[in-house]
Amino acid sequence: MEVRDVQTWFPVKTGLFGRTSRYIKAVDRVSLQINSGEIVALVGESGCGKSTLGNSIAGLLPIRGGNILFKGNSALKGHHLQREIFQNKVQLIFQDPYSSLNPKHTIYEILSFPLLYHNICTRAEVGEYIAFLLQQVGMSADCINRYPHSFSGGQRQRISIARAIGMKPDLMICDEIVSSLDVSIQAQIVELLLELRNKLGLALLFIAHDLSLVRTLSDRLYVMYLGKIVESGKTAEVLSGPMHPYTRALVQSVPTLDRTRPPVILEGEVPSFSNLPQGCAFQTRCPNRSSQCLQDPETSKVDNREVSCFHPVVSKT
Amino acid sequence: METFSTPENIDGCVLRVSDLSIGIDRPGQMLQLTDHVSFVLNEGEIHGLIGESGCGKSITSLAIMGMLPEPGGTLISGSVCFRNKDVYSLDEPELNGLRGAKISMIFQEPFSAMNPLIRVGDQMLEVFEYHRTDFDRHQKIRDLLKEVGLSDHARILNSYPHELSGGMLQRIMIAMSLLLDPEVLIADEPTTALDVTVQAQIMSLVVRLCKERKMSVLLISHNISLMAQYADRISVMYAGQIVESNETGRFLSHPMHPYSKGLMRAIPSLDREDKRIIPIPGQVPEPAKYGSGCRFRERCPEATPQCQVPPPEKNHEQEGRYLCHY
Repeated sequence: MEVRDVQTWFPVKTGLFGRTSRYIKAVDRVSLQINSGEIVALVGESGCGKSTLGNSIAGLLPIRGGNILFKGNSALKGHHLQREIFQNKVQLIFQDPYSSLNPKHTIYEILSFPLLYHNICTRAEVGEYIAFLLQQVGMSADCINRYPHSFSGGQRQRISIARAIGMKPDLMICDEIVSSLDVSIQAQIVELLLELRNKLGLALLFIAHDLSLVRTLSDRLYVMYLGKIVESGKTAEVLSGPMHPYTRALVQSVPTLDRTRPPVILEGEVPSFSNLPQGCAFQTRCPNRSSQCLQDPETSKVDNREVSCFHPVVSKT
Repeated sequence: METFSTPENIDGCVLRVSDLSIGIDRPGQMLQLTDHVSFVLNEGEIHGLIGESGCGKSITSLAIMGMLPEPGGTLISGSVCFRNKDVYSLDEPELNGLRGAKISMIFQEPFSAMNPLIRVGDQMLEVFEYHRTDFDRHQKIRDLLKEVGLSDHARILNSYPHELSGGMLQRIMIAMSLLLDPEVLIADEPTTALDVTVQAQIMSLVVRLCKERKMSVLLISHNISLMAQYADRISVMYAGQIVESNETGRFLSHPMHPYSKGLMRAIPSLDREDKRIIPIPGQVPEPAKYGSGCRFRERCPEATPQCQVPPPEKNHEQEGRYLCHY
């Protein structure tokens, strides 16, 4: 999938007649690419726009500008995604395992409904196919007559994954799917995703804020700050040698098991979307800031690494 | 009850939890949620309690304040002593004097811990309602906001919780918990809901306050890296039991219990050469299904038939305390 200069803006309506006074540019000219069988991570802290981007790509939010191409075909018409172009090949899994499964349906109903509705298989085949899907995600087939509430968070996420892979997707968008799970269960789900990628050739867009997990799972990485991509490249390279000052600050704030390297504090808070500075959004907290940063930073591309900064960090951390 | 010859037994001990066994009275049975949980908090120390959901860490923290869940929460055996006074021997007015004042608590979700309909300033004043104070309350609030790094106190005190960010609210929660100068702060997953950059700010604040005030902190989290960085001692909780306890540096260099070892392999850490993680198979057992014998045996790669028998508690200088046959 290729995302080109996508913009998702939320209008702020004020006044008696609800006139749009300005826009929250939650996603502002973002471009990214996901190749077949690749696991791409989109990281950033809360409010950076990564979930908005995930929802926009999946067609849940109107897109104001830019384009989304799936297998070379343009999927955008006006502001709306033409989901037929995706043909169910793009699936979305959400963060909260407690609200993404209908509590009134059994697991059988939850899994069979989309399969039958989209004619993925016939009614005669669906039982066997569901058993197969559950086995793929490490769940036993005898859970089909139970309801979501009898399963743990980790098990529900497995069921959501089964539901998604049942559609035989080419791309799965995972929006913070392990963030609310215990660490040992997070590890299990990550292992499952890697297995599914290897077995099914699935591509993944993994939206997360946990850099340590992203390093284990993803091949490439995009870092987002206030609606824009500030850096991208191969995960191992970006995390071992971050070039954008924000990426570096992020990497340095993560606590590790190495007590000789305490987290480095990045002062200040994220400015609000309605109060963005002129030019680079990170300048209010950036140690490398200069007067040049009042202009929109240019993106430099070197060897599959991209950085949007006038003063990128050059030495390795 | 074991007496420990480890550094846990020195004077300067502020809080001693001994063989704490808590249960919930359910129709037909008493469900035991913790089993002989013991640990000690010394003055000025940050003690990390690591555990995943269902291990009993939250109920232990409530029990420390004498707040067993109602209905049905029962102290089956054991004790909690604050400065040598048994919390469960205190009457209600004495307990009120303890909570918030001597032992204070901060929670995971700052948004849910505050009343959305009341301004922040008024909520902070509420803290004083059950406690007598002989200082200027408003000045104390301003002083504490400054101590936690919030300078714009006029605006903050006048705001409603939803108008402030998660990081700011957590700082306010910390300020609120310190209004009565407690000796012990229980921090239950204080940064789990916060971004990593904000987490670094908040944790550095907690450590500074702990050292400056000689306050003891019980830091509860499932994040081992957080403990590695900030805790002086670590206790690992699994299925209602403390399965290991040691000084942090020693714990990190040689974890003894298979669950601790499993956790270390299952968590990714940016500093490690190898980025792969090895999950612990299976799930945490439910309290009703603990059984006798080692509670981790179903998931333990080192389990043997011997593990059907309850494991002994081992106690060594270097290796700390742990519950295992091997």
